Amino acid sequence: MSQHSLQTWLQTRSKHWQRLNELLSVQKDKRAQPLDEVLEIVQESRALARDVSLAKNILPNSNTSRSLDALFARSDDVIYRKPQSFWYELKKLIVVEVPQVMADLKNTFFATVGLFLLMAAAGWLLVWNYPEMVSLFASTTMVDFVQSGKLWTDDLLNVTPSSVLSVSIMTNNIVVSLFAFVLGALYGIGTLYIIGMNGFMLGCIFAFTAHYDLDGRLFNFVIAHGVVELTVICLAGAAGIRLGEAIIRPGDRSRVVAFQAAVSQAGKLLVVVSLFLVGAGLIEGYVSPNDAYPLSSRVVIGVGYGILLWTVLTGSIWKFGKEK
Amino acid sequence: MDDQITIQSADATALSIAIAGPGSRSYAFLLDWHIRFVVAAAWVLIVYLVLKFSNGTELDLFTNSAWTSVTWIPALLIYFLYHPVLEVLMHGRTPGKRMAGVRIVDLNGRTPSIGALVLRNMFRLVDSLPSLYMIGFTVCLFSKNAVRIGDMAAGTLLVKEQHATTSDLEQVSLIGKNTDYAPEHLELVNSLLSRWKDMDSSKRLALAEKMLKKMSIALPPQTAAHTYGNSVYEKLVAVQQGIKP
Repeated sequence: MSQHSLQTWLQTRSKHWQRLNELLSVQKDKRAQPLDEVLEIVQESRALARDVSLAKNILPNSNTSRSLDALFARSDDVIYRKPQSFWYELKKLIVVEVPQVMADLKNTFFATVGLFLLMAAAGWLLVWNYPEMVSLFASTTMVDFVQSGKLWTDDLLNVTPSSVLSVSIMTNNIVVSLFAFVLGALYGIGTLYIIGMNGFMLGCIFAFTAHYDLDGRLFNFVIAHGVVELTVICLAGAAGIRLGEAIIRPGDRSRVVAFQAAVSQAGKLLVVVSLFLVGAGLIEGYVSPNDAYPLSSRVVIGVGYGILLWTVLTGSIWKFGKEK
Repeated sequence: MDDQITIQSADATALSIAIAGPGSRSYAFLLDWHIRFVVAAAWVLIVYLVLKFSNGTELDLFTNSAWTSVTWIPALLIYFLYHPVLEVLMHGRTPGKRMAGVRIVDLNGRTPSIGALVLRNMFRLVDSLPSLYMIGFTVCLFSKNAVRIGDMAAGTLLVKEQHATTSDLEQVSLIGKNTDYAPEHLELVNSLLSRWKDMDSSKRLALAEKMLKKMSIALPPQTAAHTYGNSVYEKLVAVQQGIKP
């Protein structure tokens, strides 16, 4: 391109680039932008696409080329950006996507529950036969409480208020679930460890309390929040195992692509089940340590909340609404 | 030179994007960490002082249920939700990233979806292991496009923010209008002037003299160093503006 043509091109086109820049900057609220301006942005952006290619050829590594690249990246982002409607996305996630993920993960979930129960049984057998082994998995305080005929949860509300207890429990549960999921990135080994250890420890603690005839009281404490809490940990584990599987046997895709696909699919489940952990935390803070609730109420709360979780995850709650 | 990646846009245009390396990434993270820590701490302090002076008694913020709810819980929410919430609201940016001149984009160079930003933050749990983001930093050092595990999982990249300011485009327009000099030379003048303040005075003066000679423009008469430097700078500005010096 001759110097004259280059200058003519720059002179003619720079007005359009300035106009596009102005249109992109003029309004913060893109939804209120008039239609003619939006169409102008699209037209100017298409013309700019040609200018970007031309500038790279005739003025490579120049300020002009870089400025046009930046302007084009901005207009492309504005034109092709997906609408970010939080409530719409959340509704779509809960009503459409999560039931699909759950259907896909069902077998992995049952396998995870199987692993959890197997490890719980192993923990129970170990401590039932060798009670002193509990010190490997439980704190000295817990052991002392049980040996004196009490549960460590007995005076919980005298020490910590329900609100603080709920927040710390829900934070802990969410972190454990997220860990069970994200540690799947380590070829699934991290997830298997978390699920296995949680099951094993639960079995150990139940066996130890059974030695002192306190297992019924422990069950009384656990049942209201435990149904959802343990289900969610197993769901997070199933999602984590799916990540590990994607890395170990990615199929036709590269490992990174298979990993990304598994994360974006299984991760949806985590967002929804984490919301249920907030409820489980509140139950554990306000209901579980409170003696005013009899066992029957606790069972109703625990099982009812568990059914709600399951119907939301499988999508049957939304089908029920439609049928009505 | 920054690591560049080329992305094909929907219009089949090749877009060059500069990848932010471990340095920019760590700088942005440190800025954000300080911001969220200070804001969360300020919240606790302000609420504590307000409650103390309105009640007139010493407060136990650790065991009183109501006070805990208004002090620690919001502070923890500020600290832990800072990244996901701001990255969604600011389209892949946070105040620290903005200060460091970086932003998060998806593999098409566009603003990532809410889901991708949430997932990216979930994986901080792995990236931060065993402490001080060791896994994340190590992966970032050796991975293609300098990404941490969270970015790999969510399909995102941390890139240098590119701006086309009004003044940049005005300068491009001036190159077109200026028929006295070759556009390539004017590009170099623009580039030198844009970096003028950041350069060592003797080096920028040497470059400017070389450039003026190449464009067959007479150098200003030799005077005191400071005045001479200013005269050379003014000549370059005149060239940029299309005024014959």
